Order: sequence, then C-alpha cells, then structure tokens
Amino acid sequence: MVLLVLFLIWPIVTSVRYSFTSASGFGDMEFVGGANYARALSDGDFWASVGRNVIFGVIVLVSSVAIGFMAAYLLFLRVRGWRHLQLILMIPYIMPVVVTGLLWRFILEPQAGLVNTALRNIGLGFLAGPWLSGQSTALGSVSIVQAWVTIPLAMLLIFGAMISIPGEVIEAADLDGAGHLTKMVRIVFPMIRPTVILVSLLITLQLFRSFDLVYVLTQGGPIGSTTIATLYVFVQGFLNNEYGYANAVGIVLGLMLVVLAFIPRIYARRANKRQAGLELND
Amino acid sequence: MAQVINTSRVIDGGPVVARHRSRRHAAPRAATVIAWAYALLSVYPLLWLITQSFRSDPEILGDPFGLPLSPTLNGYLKAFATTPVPQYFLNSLLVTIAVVLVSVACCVGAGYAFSRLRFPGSNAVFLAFIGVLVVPAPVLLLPVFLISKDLGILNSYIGLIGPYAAGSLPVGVYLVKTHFDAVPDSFAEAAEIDRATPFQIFRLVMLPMVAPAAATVAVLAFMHAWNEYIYALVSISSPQLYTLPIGIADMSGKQYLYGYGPVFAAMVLASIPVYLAFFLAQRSFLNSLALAGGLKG
Repeated sequence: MVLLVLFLIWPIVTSVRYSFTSASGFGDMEFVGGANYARALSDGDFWASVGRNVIFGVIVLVSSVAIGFMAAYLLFLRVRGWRHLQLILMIPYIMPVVVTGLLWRFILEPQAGLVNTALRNIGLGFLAGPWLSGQSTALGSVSIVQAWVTIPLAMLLIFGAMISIPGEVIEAADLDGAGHLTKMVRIVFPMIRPTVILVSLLITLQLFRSFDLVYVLTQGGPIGSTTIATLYVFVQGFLNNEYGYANAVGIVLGLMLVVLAFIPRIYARRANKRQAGLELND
Repeated sequence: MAQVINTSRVIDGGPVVARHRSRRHAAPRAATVIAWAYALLSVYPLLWLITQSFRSDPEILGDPFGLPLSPTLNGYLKAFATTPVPQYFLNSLLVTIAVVLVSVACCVGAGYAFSRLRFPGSNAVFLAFIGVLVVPAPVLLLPVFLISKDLGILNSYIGLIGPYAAGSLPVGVYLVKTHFDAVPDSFAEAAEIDRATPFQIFRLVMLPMVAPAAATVAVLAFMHAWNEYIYALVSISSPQLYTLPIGIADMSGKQYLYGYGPVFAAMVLASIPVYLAFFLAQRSFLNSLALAGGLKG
C-alpha cells in the first residue's frame, strides 16, 4: 500500500507538479505555468519522434500480428509436437531485453555481423550495409528486432482465442471439404476478429510505452533517427536534465495513450455483449 | 479484458481441447515442416549466442557462422575471473528475490483486504489502484527517479526494489482479488464453525486457494526485476551495485577491454534463470505472459 502510493500514485502527482515548473536539477525551480505545455505542443522534434513512433508501431504491429496469426494457426492445426513448439516460439519474447538488444547488435554489425556475412557469402555483398548505424535503415532494423520480440506475444494471445472456437464449427467446415487456407481465412479469422483487433491495440499501446529495446540497440541514433516518442521524453529528462519540460511532454504523451487505451476497453465491452448471447459460461 | 483474452484453456487443455483432439485429423506434413522451420529460424539467434559463447574471439570474427569445433570455456572463465559478472549476478539475484517476496506478500495481503474486508472507501481505493494501470509507464519513470532522489535512495538496492515491487502491484492485486472473490463465503464460514481464528482462516483456507494467482504474480515480478534495464541504468551509478542488464551493457561498451567471449558468456548467464524458470513453471509463465500482455494497458 505504502509502496504503491510512494512509487505509483505520488509520482503522478509529482509529475504534474514538475511539469509546471522550470526544474532542471539545479536549484532554481520556478513556476512557469503552461509554458512547458505550449513548448511541447509546438516542439517539432517531439512531433517528429511521435511520427517515427507511428512508423515503428505500424511495421511492428502489422508484421507481428500477421506472422503471429499464422504461427498460431499452425499450432491450431496441431502440427507434430505443437506443445513443445508453443514453448519454443515464446523464447524471443522472454529473453532479457539487454540480451536481445546486444545479440541483435552483433547480428546486424556491419563488418563481422551475421546478416552482412551471410549476404557476402551468397554473393549479395552489395546489399550489406550498416543496418543500425545507417540513418536510412536504422528505424527499419529496430522495427524488425522489435517484431521478433512481439510476434510470440501476438501468437500466444491469438492462439488463446482460436482454441476457444467450438470444435463443431471446424468439423462442419471439414465435412464441407474446406481446405486449410479456406478455413484459416474464411472461418477462423472472422471468428476471432475481435481478439485480433484487441491484441493489435494492446501491442500498439506497448509500442508507444517501451523504448528499452530501441535504447539498447541504437540509443536513439544515428542523428535521432530512431528516437521514438518515449525515448524523446527520456532524453529530455535524463540527458538534457530538463525535468520540468520532460514531465510536460510525458504527460502530453500519457494523455494520448490514455485515449488510445480506452479504445480497447470500449471495444471489449461491445465484443463481450455480442458474445454474451453466444456463450453462456465464460 | 481478462475474459476476452483467456489463455488458461490453452494451458489446461480443457474440454475444448479434448474435442479438438478427438477429430483425428492430422495436420498436413507441410504445415509441420513450415512450423518447425519457422521455430528454428526464430530461435536461431539464441542458439547462435550459445554456440559462440564457446568459441574464441578470433574464431567468432573469422567466421561468425562457425560451430564450436574446439569448444573452449575461456569466455566463461574470463567472465568469472576478470570481469565483475559474479558481482552483477549477485546484485540481480538479491534484488530479484526481494522484489518477488515483497510483491507476492503485498499482492496477497492487499488482494485479500480488497476482496473480503469492507472498510469505508475500499472501493474508491481499489479503483485508484486499477486506475494506475492506465497511466503509461514512461510517464512514471522520471517522477519515480525524482522522488527516489529526494528520499536519498538512488543508487541503492532499496532504490531498485521499491519501484520494481510497486510496478507489479496493480496487475497483481487485481489478479489476487479476483481469485479471492471466487472463493465461496461458505468456506470461511465452515472454518469459523470449526473455531478457526481469522488468521487461521486466511492462512489455511484462503491462501491455498490463490496459490496459482500468487505464482503468476511471482513470475511477473521475477521477469520484471531480472530484466529491467532503463530504470536501473539511470538510478544506479556505482559499478559495484550494477545489476546484470546494465552490467552487461557496460561490458559490451568496453569491448577493447573484454572482447567478445566474456560478454557472450555473461549474456548466456543472464538468460539461464529466465529460461530455467520458464521451462519449470510453463503454466504460470504462459498465464502471466498473456496477462501482462492483456492488462498492461
């Protein structure tokens, strides 16, 4: 209880308080009213970081939901050893974030990295590039690594929904001679569409909240090309020591996320109502 | 939301699964091949890391795809002898154990209070608890840092344990409370008739009922405390207090000093407890991963 107040509720209050001041870590802390907020809203760098976050979010979201769905469907088909497979496929998701980041830094390293060595070995050396340190490829590379981590989560949640599809439905489709592809696209997907949408929103939220993997991979560089929104707050607060301003930016971002967070709740309620008629217990 | 994303059935293999199994339609062989090929591809980075940790630096740089034909433990030996990895490991272990104990104790206590005891405003307090779930974590990072600074607990074990444990509370308390809610009142009443004291009721009747929820809380707390990077990075400044994540990141930045071997070895060492726990407590893990994904809103 005390812990919670101390480290969760009080911080929010403190954050709001700081956001109206010019705190910078050096004594002088004046009340500056809404100046920080005005600055945040007109800060081109901040909006650029939000834009990068959107690109990052879209790449990761689309690839992880699409691949996660297909992986879940393979599990759903009960491929040989699916129980083991389910565990194995979770491995990227539970890897400590620093290990993931450093590992991929070695993989994408320009000289002896795995990707470039492989490209050179098969005669495509001209494609080899400084994946994480090139301004044009950094954001894409970071997104791919993040997708590698997020796919298992999407798979787990989507599989959870697939397994609750009544067996009769699938049997009926089998009797009608539906092929696997037809079943996947025409039957399984429509039945779990509410879950897929919900999972997408949850993943989106997470991609706007965490920046640790990106930080380990690139520190937001080169030249800020991978500085996503939360990382921008972090940079302002901890590297530039602009506590007051960073808090204001954080709160603006937080409010945006709260709005985003309510979408799944509303959607879940509606989906629940719709399902209530179909399923009695659950 | 928890009821929308319900993975417990995945793990339990309840009646729904049984029905699936009865339809003895084996998956097409192609699907099996694709599935396993994909699995191999997605865990290849981990396999690569493990194999490389048994090779020497010139070998790694010469042919990064090579297998450890002449396996060497040098990386591990160096990591233990010449780097502060053992210290980092102990720090992480200490912080993690403390966080798990504190989180489980707080969640069970608070969950029980919110579920069974009615005190004025208990609903309002509970809502405030859950409301915190909606607040995005990055917004909290800075104020938590500033408060810890004011309290003078930056750069200490306590300065990590407190925020980490607090981080697992909202989801944890919610989870434990719903488990307590599901226990019928008649259980406690029966124990009362048998003249059990309130504490006995709590310990012998109620507590075993929420053991799965407590296990889930423990897993979440463990994962968070063991893997957390950013907050440790900003709040810990003395190298002898580094946790494994920031320690390893620091070592990889000093490549000219340590080379690849010990860093790879340290990365493997940092992953071992996570994967060990994962394979030992698969059920709790899959539950808590789904929950963390579903509730961290």
